[in-house]
Amino acid sequence: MSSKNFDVEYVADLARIKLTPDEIKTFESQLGQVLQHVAKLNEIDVSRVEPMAHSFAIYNVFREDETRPSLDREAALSNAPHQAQGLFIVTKVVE
Amino acid sequence: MEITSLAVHDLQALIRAGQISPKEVIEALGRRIEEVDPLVHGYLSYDFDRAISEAQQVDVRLPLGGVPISIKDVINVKGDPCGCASKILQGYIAPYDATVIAKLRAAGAIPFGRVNMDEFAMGSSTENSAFGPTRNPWDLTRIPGGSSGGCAAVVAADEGFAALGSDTGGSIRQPAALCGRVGLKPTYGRVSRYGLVAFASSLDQIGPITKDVRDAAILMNIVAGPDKFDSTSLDDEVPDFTVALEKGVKGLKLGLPKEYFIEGLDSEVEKTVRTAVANLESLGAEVVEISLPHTEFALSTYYIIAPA
Repeated sequence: MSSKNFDVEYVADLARIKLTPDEIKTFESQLGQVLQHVAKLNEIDVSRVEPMAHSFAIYNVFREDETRPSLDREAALSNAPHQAQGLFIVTKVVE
Repeated sequence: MEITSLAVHDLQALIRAGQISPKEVIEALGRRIEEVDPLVHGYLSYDFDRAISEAQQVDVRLPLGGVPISIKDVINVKGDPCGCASKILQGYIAPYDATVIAKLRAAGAIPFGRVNMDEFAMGSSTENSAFGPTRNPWDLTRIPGGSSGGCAAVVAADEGFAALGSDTGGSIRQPAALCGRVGLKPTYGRVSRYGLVAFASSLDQIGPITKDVRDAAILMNIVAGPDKFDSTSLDDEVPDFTVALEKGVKGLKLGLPKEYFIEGLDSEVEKTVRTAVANLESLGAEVVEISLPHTEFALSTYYIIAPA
């Protein structure tokens, strides 16, 4: 399938990664294969098939709305690269 | 017979009878790992001293009392790294136990080691680990399959008694087959996914890779069941899976999908499968050819749903 259906450089920009021209070529071809999978499924008529969200008839799962023990703060922060005053410190990502 | 070549049920019987201590089991496992893992590369890491100290405290009368179970690097074990064989998660230490691990511990098992896999479970050869590939113990030039290739390889190389892996689209079943061990992907919802790093949440299941079918049934008895921490887990009663082992296959009707025997199937694989089918028939199973006409669309469906 033609790679004209999408712009690999644009997708890479969204993902904040830089690609070499060779890599762009590779991913163009691989993403083209993904589109072939979609095209393959277009061969089947599913108009009479009900959409499915779960392989079993589970719709809603409820529990009592009560407190229970959870990870304490120290454990929850134990993997934080940076922390202060019991909070995670993260890089600002929104402008 | 070497201790490390025992199946879980035989090992536990010896431990329970006092013929071997859990500490000696861990020591034997450690020696076997030192001997073969430089070739197989099934383990990313293991905490031998902690395993020894856990072994000294374990209640051997529990169903898995003193039995070490090797754990794929995608399942959280409190105090162990959980890195999904990726450098992205390097340094992460799990602050809690996955539900399956809590259940193993309650049954007396000792969660052991971090077992190699395709990075984030995306792959089917265990060549895509950030820490190097695992090799098939039967032939070190070949792949063990994946993504639970480390689990299958360590159990096949007798450097693990049994393992817990995860399966999204074949990641337990395929490596177990490629390493000649038993692998089971439980029905979706049968086993809690709490504490399993997700690949595709609507497909992922944790399951056993073992030396024989009885061990798979025993492990399922322990890890299956509803969990309030996983709302997609099934609220069904868990049967004793070992009971069915006594019944044999007589009278069972087995469907053999004709679409699974198509062009591209390796002739040796087909021969082996046909032989297994003939064995089942000779033991009294009835084999019926069936048709699953949408088989040719399965791979495309999977490749779209799984990464979605």
